Amino acid sequence: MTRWAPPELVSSALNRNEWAVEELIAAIWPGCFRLAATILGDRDLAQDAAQEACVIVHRKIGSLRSPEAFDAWLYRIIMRQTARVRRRQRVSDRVAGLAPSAADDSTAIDVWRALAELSPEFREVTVLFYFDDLKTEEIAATLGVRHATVRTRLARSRAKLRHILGDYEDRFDPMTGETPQHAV
Amino acid sequence: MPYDFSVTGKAARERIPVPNLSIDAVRSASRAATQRNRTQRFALSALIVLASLGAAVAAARIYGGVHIWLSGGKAAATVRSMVVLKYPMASDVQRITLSATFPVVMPVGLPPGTRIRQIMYSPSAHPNTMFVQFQSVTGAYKGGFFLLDPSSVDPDTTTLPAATRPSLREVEQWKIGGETVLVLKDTFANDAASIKAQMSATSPSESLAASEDMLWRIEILGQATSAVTDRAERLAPPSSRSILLDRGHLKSLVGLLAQNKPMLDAREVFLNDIPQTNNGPDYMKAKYVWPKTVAIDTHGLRAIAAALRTSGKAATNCNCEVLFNRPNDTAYWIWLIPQTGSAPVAKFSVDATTFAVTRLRE
Repeated sequence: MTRWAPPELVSSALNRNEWAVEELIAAIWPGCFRLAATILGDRDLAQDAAQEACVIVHRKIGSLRSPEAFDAWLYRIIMRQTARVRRRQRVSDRVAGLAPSAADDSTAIDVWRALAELSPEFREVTVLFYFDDLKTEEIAATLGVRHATVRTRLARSRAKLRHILGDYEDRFDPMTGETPQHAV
Repeated sequence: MPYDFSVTGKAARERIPVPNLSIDAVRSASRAATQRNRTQRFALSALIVLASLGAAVAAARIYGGVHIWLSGGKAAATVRSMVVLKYPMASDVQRITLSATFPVVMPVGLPPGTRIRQIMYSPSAHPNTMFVQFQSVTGAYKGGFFLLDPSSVDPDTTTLPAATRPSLREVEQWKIGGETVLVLKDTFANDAASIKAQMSATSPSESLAASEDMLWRIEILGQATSAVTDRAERLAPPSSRSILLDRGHLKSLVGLLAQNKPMLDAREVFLNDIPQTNNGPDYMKAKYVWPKTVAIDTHGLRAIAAALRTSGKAATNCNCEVLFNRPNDTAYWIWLIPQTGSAPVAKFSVDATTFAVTRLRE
């Protein structure tokens, strides 16, 4: 089961069916863009990173061995592209944060504000863990860092979020890496 | 007020407006990146050639597609154009040598199992410079020989440009009739004297015949792996054209069939208009031209797809390479050669009209 697109579409794309590859890109684009935007805190940079991720998917989908590997592969690509854009643009550690949409309530605005306060390393693990529901082992594989590093970053990030947001309530145990309930 | 950070964050993220994506932009960027990747691979291959050339040509000045200046321990190269041909066959070498400006004596007397990996020549129409690059029996790069038209070699090194090349290496140099031969001393060091003696006693046509064992008997599209190519060459009928597709080429099968396009012979590439910078030739900005020579037409590709279907394998993950042959007008022969040496080869005959597949005993 893939979280980004229907498995049969991923399978067809793996076989280099041009139509399926383009359908797949259309399916993953919103998620790619929103993930990049959440990490980078800037729409233009996010568009750059997400589009480059889609180009890589278009070029290299045929090299993927199985549809099951697609999710992890795509997460790695997006995270690498956000890191590339950040390096190139010299985005400061503390981003301005996305402008809240008209539909955002005060709690949503608080979330953006809190994320903007986190350093890029903390923001990455926080977003992947709380928004994408990745396990800490999966985050470690995605970012190419040690599992212990992810747990440490999450623990520190949680402490900082608690400080920023005040009403922090979290059932995640960073020592065990158990799947969280994500309450803040 | 406590609230769920995860739920709130996910909901807020879902409300981020998403700009439109131009699939055309993705498609063209993907193709450009693929082209860049191909270019880089060829540039690397060309740089190996040029590094050897710059180091090898003591007091040589070659006119035409390649121009070398040397002074003392430093050299500068200007390469305006060249052609790189991978996995050459006897017919390819015959074509190149016949159009050369000098009587080409091919290197002979090399260690058993040595194969010619690629030939670089320049200028393309009438070469006065050839670089013949070898690989060992294991497929490892083994250096090469420069075969030059003596009239294009000029020991005058007074007009050196500002740009410099890496330091020189010692070379073995000799002349055979109308050909100057250069070989780096650190390649074929133990065999250089014997090779020189054998080349000196060989005519151009004899050398071509003698080098046939080092040339390829089938067209290899992609990357040759010793285990598979050896088997493929043994299996290929000698009387008709056979083509070996590596996994990379097999993966492109589905796309080509969908677009009703043939598979092209990409063994040869022309590098033209190579711009010069202070650091030497900039291969990345050269104009790369692949001839539009068809290796397998669309009917042949359909035959391969039919054989793969019958074998229950997909072009993208069959872990095999495909040997293609058309013995006559009514049939195609397809061999699926596993990449692991011990696994059996499957042979199929495919009807050229109905694409009905029959499994054959090899």
